[in-house]
Amino acid sequence: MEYKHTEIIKDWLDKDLANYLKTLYTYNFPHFYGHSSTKEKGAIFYSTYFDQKENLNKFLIYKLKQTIKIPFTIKDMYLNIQHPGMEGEFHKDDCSLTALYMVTGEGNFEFKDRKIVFKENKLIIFDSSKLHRGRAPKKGIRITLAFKLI
Amino acid sequence: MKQIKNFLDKEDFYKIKSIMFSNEFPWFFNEFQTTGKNDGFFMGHNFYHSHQKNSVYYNPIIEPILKKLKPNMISEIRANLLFKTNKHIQSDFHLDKTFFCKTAIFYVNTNNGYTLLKDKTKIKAEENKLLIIDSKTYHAAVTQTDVERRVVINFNYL
Repeated sequence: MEYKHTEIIKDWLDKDLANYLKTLYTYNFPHFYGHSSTKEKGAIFYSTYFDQKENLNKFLIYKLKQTIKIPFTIKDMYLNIQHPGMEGEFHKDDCSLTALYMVTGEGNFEFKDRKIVFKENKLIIFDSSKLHRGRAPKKGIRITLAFKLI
Repeated sequence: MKQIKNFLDKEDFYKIKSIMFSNEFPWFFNEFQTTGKNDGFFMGHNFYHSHQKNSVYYNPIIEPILKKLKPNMISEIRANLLFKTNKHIQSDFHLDKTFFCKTAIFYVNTNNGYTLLKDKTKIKAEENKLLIIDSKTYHAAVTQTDVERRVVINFNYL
């Protein structure tokens, strides 16, 4: 899948939906321990894997298709949940393209040569083979929704 | 106040610990530990809430403890998980319930966090230990600095 340029979309979702997801994913979804950026090293995060057939998730995938405009299949769709001290390590994703939606919190997203400030309701679409990491929040909770695309 | 070490037999205890420390066990984020609202977040899992069982993990985790605790009435059962902090951080002193009942805290793992009673008694977090206090005893949770997770199960019962 050709998508060489990183794309950043501010205010990707309608404001009400973004706020709704923020509360839903923070307080009403279970968080499971045991996710990390890399298998070899790095802090363990919490995560929640999504069912792509669930209606709200179907809508988010539809919205992503409207945004990306090239055909893709979702390999995985899940929340990354980080707390203070849970630093991400630089890694590549095991897919072609990654879309990362910033749900809530702080802790920038970084490539080796570029920092992208964490802002709620921002979507980043990038080539999965680029090394990247999510910084831990200094306080509070940081939640991102990752779409791994092939 | 009563502390009972090695509360469960080893087989029952390690079954509970392995479930609660697995990647399959769901935790829910809570912004504040007490209603004081300045003592940091924790992760919770409600086993018994609003007069009913609230978890598919109730039977494997809670039943073995209740068999020994033998309560007449259960008000609430919840697991609490605290994250490692750089220094010990104490929650606000609080009572779990305003009505008279007992509070039991079952320590799922050993760590250097502790439960602090208002009379300054420190209860060490030692795995498989049960602490029983009455509901009028103000207490606070103190975070650990040595391991990633501090897990307890809190019972309010009579």
